[in-house]
Amino acid sequence: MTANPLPLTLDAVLDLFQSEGVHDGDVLRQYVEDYPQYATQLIDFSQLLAAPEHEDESPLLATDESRIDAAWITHKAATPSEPAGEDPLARLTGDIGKDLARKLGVPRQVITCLREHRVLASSLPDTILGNLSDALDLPRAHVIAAMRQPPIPMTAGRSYKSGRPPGSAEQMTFEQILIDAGVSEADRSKLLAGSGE
Amino acid sequence: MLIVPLTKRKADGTLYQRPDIIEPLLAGLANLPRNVLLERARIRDRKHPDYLPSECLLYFVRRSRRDNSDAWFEQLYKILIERVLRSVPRAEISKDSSSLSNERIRNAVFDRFVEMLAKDRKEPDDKLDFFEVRFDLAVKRLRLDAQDRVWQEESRTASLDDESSGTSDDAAQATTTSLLDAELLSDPLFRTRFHRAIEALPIEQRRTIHLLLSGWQIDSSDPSVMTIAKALNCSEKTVRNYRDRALKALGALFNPGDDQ
Repeated sequence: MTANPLPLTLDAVLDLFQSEGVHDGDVLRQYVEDYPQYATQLIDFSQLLAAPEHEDESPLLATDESRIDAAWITHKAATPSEPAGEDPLARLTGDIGKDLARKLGVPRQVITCLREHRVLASSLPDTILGNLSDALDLPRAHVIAAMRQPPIPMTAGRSYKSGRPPGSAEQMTFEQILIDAGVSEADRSKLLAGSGE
Repeated sequence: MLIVPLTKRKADGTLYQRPDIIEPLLAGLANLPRNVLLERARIRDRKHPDYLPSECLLYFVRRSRRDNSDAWFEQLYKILIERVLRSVPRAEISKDSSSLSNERIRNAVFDRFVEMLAKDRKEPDDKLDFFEVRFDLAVKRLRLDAQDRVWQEESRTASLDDESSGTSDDAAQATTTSLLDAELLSDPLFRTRFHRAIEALPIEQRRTIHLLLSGWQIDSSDPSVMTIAKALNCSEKTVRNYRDRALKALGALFNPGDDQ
């Protein structure tokens, strides 16, 4: 229910209304009382919501098939725009990095290594690559291409259990990164299960 | 498999969440071979155990924004937009004016959805997020926008009619009550016919009947009560006329012989 009516736009009011769990007469009445200026739109929306889902079972007409084909051409032409020179792995910070670490069950240090191109693309298990690709909303081929870029020098002050000198810019296998991050053997086995690139 | 979370926020600042049933379903579907997923996407019977909800289908289409060269995604995309096309009533053979309006509304909904998908592919934002939460409802919202536009373009206006139709309130009340017959409305076929008949009514009659069925009063001596007359901004007499004419048209549903 709307507790505190504000001068909202029609779209904002319909957004609120559609988010209600129930769309019965009482909820509608409350909205019409709160937003009388949008009464007819709310009533019409409520009427559409009350109707059972429509499902046209008849075969598609030739004109419908043409519309669908034309829509695909439009969709295909809407090429995703990506700023030139952007490193997609650089997005593995903040919530994206944190969520990925949580999903994979690895320390943040492992995500940092991925972000800094320190993981050999060929050593990344397919399932992990899939997770990374989803987190970045990028196809796998683009993720692999980004991972193949030269490593970024380590952040000053960070230490690794392996005792490798800070600032060393080398790529390592994913397994080695996990070992350095202190991931247990059992967890490593689980993470590494699956085929590589 | 990591399921990409939604980013759209509600008015209270909280994020939209996919329904409980969708999120785990997505996780399982993401691990299926593509051809299996495609086969499941082709199932149109919603009661089929392998039916793929459109919320899931949209998720995979949105996630494939960079893989359009793959024929697999083309098929997935086409299945999704065909579902949208099938979810909006199309013109009947009769091609009367309301039927032609239906066709314009259907095309407008389809074009808008195609446009939103293309825009989302080019530059992802949160405008399609709600479709991943409640797909059918979101399509109905597109339908609302489209019908509003089409009706305005057709300059459909309500004709205020204070002339009495001669039907007594008691008789009208009895018909309204019979329309609400729970047993009849529990029959899916009857329910579909009933709602189609309502949708075929002139706009004001359609609104009046919907509000009556929603338990609203035509008018009230208490000025603080929201009534049909107040909501539709007309007199109670006009509302009664809308009601009587609508009931006459809907009465055909109960007398199949008159339904021709």
